[in-house]
Amino acid sequence: MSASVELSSYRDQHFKGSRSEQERSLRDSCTLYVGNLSFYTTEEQIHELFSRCGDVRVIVMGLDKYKKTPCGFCFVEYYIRSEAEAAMRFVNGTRLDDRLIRVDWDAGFIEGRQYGRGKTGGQVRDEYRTDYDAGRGGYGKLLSQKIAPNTDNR
Amino acid sequence: METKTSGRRKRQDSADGEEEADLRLKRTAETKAATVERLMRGLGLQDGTSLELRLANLSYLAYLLSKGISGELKKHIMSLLITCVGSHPGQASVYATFVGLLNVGDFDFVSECLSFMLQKAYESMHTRDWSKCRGVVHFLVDLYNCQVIPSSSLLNLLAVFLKECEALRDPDDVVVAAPQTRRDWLAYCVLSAMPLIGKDLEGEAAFEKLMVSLQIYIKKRCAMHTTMLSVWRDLKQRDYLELLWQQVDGLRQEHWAEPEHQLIPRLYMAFDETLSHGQMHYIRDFQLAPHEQGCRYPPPRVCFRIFSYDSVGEIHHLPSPVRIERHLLEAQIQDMLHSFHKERRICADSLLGYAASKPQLPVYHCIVEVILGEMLQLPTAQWININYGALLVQLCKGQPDKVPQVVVQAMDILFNRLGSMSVACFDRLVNWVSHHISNFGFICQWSKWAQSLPSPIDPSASNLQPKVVFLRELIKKCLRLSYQQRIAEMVPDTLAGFLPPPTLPHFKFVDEKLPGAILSKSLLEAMRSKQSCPEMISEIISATTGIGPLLKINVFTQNCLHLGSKSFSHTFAILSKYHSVFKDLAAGDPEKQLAILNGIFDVWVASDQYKFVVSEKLVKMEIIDPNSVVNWIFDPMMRQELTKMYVWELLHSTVRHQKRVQHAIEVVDVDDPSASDPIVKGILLSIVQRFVKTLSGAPVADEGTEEHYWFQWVLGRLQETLFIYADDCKTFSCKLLKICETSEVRPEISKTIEAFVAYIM
Repeated sequence: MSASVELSSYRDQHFKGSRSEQERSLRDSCTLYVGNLSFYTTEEQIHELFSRCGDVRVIVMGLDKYKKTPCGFCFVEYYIRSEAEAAMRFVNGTRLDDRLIRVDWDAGFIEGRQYGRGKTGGQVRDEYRTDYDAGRGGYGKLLSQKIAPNTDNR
Repeated sequence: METKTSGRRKRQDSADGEEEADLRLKRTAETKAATVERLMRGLGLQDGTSLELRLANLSYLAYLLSKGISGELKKHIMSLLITCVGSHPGQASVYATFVGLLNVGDFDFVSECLSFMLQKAYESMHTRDWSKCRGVVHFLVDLYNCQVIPSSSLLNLLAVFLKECEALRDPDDVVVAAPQTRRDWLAYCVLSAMPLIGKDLEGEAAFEKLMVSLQIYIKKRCAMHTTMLSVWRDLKQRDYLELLWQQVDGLRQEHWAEPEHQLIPRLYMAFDETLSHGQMHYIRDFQLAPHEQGCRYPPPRVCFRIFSYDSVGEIHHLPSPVRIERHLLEAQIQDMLHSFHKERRICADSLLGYAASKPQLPVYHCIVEVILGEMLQLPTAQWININYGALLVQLCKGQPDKVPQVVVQAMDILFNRLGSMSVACFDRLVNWVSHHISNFGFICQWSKWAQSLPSPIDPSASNLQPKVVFLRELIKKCLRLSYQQRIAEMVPDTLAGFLPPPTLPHFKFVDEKLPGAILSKSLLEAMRSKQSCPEMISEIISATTGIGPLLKINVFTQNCLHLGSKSFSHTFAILSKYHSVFKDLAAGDPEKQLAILNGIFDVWVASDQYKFVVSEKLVKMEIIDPNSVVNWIFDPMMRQELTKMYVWELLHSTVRHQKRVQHAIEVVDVDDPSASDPIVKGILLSIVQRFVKTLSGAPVADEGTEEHYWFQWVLGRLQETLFIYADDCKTFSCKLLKICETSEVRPEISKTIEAFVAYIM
């Protein structure tokens, strides 16, 4: 019945520990991963929205590994679990900066995780995207590399 | 253990075939149990399942169980029964029908079920699970309709509920120790069940006696709370129970004619013939769980209407507020809301399914009205604000050509009534509207709202008319969720004056002639250097001469905020880094802590959000004492700020912090809970005292003047604060009354406090 606070199928592949340990820490966690943000969305906006579910302890903005600019995700930590659950229930799948954002459980922030894991420094999903997303730097990285120098020989 | 050993023996000396047959039987039993569970749970869902399908499911369930029920399964069915009836009290009738069908084949099991449910009625009262208990009562009432119990048993049972209400002969009668809320609840259980049985039992002496008892009770009980609980100042909202009586009485006067549109689900009608084959059960000796000291019952409620009878021109077929149909519609919606509110998708599906099943009625209007009514309910809403908002967004998405119009219409009506709306639910409205429109591209009736303001629009901060304050705060909230340019695009030119300047930090010490600028400059250099550390900074501050300690603190605070102004994280990082410096400078000294708060105000004069979040952070870091925040908020310098939302966000966050601290002490100090008692009580009392002092100092002003509005806003904030901490206030209500006794307290203030104390007692 409590579908919206259940764990999703996503598992962080870099988690140090067994799958069951990971699931246990996800179940006790007060930290959320927030995705599909616009690169322009600020910490202050995220704070405003997530504060409506409870007292936010900390927000860690996701940054491009090289450019150190926001790359469309963040971690939000609450003081208590029930308030994080409220965010799963009432914020996941709603809009921030006109975008439907994704909220999911996270096992807890560890230094280094604020950086994008893609080759180009951003999130992996932004490398393979084939759509144009103005809020996330236009076309996907791989595609825009192809587009930029015109390699169309036909 | 026994079955295991016998199983092992069997395995040893019997053929494999037998074992397999055993397994198969076990598996069949498990499948059967799972099917029964799925079907039983399904009966309580209102996801638009057609009546035919529900009837079919009921028949199938009955058929499945007609060939004998194992002891194990019986237990399972009973536990499911109470779970389902408890979590979906509005669906009790379906489960009564189910039990009625069982009764045809298995009298003994139903007898067992009945005792079990009666036991649960008692237990749920004892555990204060009121909604579950009401579910069980309605289940029992419908057992009469399903021909499982005779009318005499049912009427006896209901009479037990009303006995305490009858004992009340006079409102001044203090013989009855239990509070009115208990009797109200008992009366509600019976009154709300009357439409289910009225037609059948009309004329029976015992039934008519119940009606008389109810009538007398409603007349005699005290409904003083309605004024205080009304969201609208100019519109008296009716007491919920009183109105329900009028609705039921109206039905009686029509000789219990069946309410239209099948608003009472009577699934059992389809099984009338089958059900008549069951034998009757008699209920003996039902008792209520007695009142216990301190037991809390559902609080009194008033009816909230947005779509009133006179706006019916636009809303066709909306039952009049005094018709039972309106109650039945609202009660169904409320039940769904309470069952599923945490799961917005399931909840929206159920509500929309229900609306689709009643196409003749404006159910969408009722849904929106009920949700907003619960959201704005006084003294406080039951759930967090965004719960209601997320649900409304989901409803809009689920039925995009029906719900959004209704929400817009409701928003518009609420906006136009702002002039008489209680301040105690003002923030909830602003928060909801800002969140809602942020999900729909910030589209709202901006131009229409602007037109309704007196022209030319005066956007200045001293304009405190409710609609103006609403728009000002709404735009600020939208900006917090979005950004300047986006909102500027959406807001018409007529409202451009409400757009605050960009939220940039203001660092005044760039002006080198200002006192403190020299210190500021050397601090900035030191803080920017690679070797910067708290000790170094402390040294620079203490070595500086020629300026006072308060200015030093102010300069240091402003420097920190200036350097960290890039984002909250940057600010927090600097504050953490220099935590010890702040501590050394201001620990335990209220005046010095005020200097820090003033520093925040100087730098972030353009940003309510920064003022709030940074101050909150300093309280959490225990650099600022909660009492200093209270002193700061009620400082004469802050007078104009008291009409802004962020001040109250900060105040309530500070009290919450204090509560957490108290809780932490209590956990450590379990042996002596009294030791930590005064912390929260202390801060709340001082807040109320400061409120009274600030308000009493205000000049008496004519209606419509700025002074008048200011007084109304702040008085409303006092009421809101009392409402939010009603539970805490119970322990010191006498002290609250004492505050009113002083001669210089204005009557409006003492009236507010006295009405509140009367309500919580």
